[in-house]
Amino acid sequence: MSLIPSIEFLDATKEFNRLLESLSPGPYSEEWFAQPQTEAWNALREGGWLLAGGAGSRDEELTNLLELAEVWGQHLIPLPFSATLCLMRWANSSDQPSVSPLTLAVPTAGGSAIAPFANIRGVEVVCDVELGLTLSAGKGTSPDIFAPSMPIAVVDRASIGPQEWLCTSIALFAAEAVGAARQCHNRALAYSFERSAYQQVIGSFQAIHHMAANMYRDLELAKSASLWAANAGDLEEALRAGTMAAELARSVAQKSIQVHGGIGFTWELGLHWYLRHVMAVESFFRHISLEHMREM
Amino acid sequence: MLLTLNSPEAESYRRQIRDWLNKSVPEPWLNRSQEMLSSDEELDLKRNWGYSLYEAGYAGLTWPTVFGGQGLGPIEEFIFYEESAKAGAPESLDTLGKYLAGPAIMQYGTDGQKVRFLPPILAGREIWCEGYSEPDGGSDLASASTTALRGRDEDDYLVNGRKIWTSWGHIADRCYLLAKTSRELPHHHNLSVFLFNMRQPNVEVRRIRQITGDATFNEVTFENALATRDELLGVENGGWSLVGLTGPYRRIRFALNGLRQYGQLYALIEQLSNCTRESHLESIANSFQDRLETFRWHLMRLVELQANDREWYGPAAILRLTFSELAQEVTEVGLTAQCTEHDDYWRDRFLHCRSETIAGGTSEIQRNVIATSVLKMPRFGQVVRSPTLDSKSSGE
Repeated sequence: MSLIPSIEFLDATKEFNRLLESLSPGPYSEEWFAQPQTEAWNALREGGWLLAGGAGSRDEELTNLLELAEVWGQHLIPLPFSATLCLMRWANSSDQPSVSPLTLAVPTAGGSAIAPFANIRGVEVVCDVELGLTLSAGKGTSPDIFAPSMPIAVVDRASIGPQEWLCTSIALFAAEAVGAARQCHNRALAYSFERSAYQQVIGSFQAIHHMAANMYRDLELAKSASLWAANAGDLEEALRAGTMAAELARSVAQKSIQVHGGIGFTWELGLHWYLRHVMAVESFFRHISLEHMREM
Repeated sequence: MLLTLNSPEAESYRRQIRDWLNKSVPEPWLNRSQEMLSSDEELDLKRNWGYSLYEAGYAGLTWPTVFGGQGLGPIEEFIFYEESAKAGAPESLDTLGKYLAGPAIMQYGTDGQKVRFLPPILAGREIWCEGYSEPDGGSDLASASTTALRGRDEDDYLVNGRKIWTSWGHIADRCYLLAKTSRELPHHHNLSVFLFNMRQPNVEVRRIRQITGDATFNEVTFENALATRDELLGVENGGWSLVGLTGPYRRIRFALNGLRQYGQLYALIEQLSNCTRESHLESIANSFQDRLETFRWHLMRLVELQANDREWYGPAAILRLTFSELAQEVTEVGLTAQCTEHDDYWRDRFLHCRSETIAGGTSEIQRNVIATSVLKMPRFGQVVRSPTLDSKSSGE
């Protein structure tokens, strides 16, 4: 597959971005994250974005979908968009229809299973990827809401299906992390142009130049690592690549906080939502048990 | 020309390269860790490798066919370098000719210069060095004080001054020389580039011994050395724009440097994995393998951006920084690997890699370039307005 998105698709992602901006006006707050996102899901469905990967069409360019997931990651709408994209792509097209929010469940080392967003009302956990069978919605328990944009809940059992679907989903979650990091990078740059100290904008200080360069380097490499994940030969490789992308994305987010100084460390600025989202992706990858996956 | 790396055509090309490399990489080079090569033997071997590449049609893969190249694209070049790294092939001596002087001559040279200089570069028959840095200039190339001046109504220039850190200057036939051709004109507008003949009596080359004990770079002193009018590249005092190159040639240079860096990292990290197997450092070596693989995917993405005429400069600008600092980290771990068989190797590589964050512009300069050229951040003291950031797209 090509490693760069098509020009036409890039144009489409701009439209997608505009939609997401209208759906998540910000600033983010715990109250906002707690609201039902029915309107947002309907807008995604009506815009045709949930079928962007082509229902049942596994040959669609995954690179394009990564671009979409990256744009999604720049906003923090608590919905399983990437998981749904992936599952729609892998499920049999004849069974696709409702386009409910879908998520996947993976086995953990402790023998249990976890699924992002499974605690959210209306989200269905897919149990058989190829057949499109789903468990009842909203059955996840004990959710970890460290990142409210990506809560992770405990569910009864892991999804089953060919390994490739999980590789695809790892790549898409990695791309989400890249998107969150890109937002942090852009916000740090914008802040460095506005904030003054010693009668200079801080963006003119060499120390900030060097931090910004490091952020940019890590962001670029994170994007490339997400492409590696999308092209991985097996699950183990996809996890290595996805983890690399998420680690690099975290590096960008934490540097962004440093550029912002004291305000970056506060709850009220809101940069931490992005950092937390990236850390949730990292944590999700870390909990996937390859050993248990192989047994399935 | 290939547009994507994952295609049957690309795979077929890869097999062709692999077959040729398997039968062509010289045995003494592959066995050099057991049977050390002398400096002269290594020099000869690398020179001969340049001839072999030319004879097999692998020299100048991305050079246009009109100049004797293969007219291929960055993806073919990527495949060639990746397979070369895996096959442990040597690097030829003529890199500065092929990647700097050659492309610059194609772009700015006269017809006569193209005919005179390009064929021997491609064939590996003339070795080039780069005359940029000066003892007092550091990374500020525009402050060059070496002069190339001519009297009124005279055609030829007399060159006086000193250049330093001139890699391969002691064996070079020609130098891509940056010199001041006007005492009156301001900075950046007073420089010219010469395709300078190193084989003349008024050029003194002093080899500089490096911390590794080798002496691959030099200090070059010019005392009334001659540069002819025919050796002036482009227009007089227009040399600054020739330093970085522009257009497709600049693209080729960036990508090729990245590919060479990948080859070096590959060799280092493979060796580290061998030295740390089943030791407490094995997981660290594995993490370096992952970083190498990320670098590889980044390069592949870069060459596809280039092959498809997309914006590529930003992704390319991080290559050197990424490579140089990773290489240093790897050698630091190698030093502590307690692999007695390769202790000498790691000490040598550790010392050698100190140069990677200095040569060609220090890491600090690299970061400044990314900040100002890619991210458009203001320089200190500059009055700024906030740029309009396209905050939602990756810009690809």
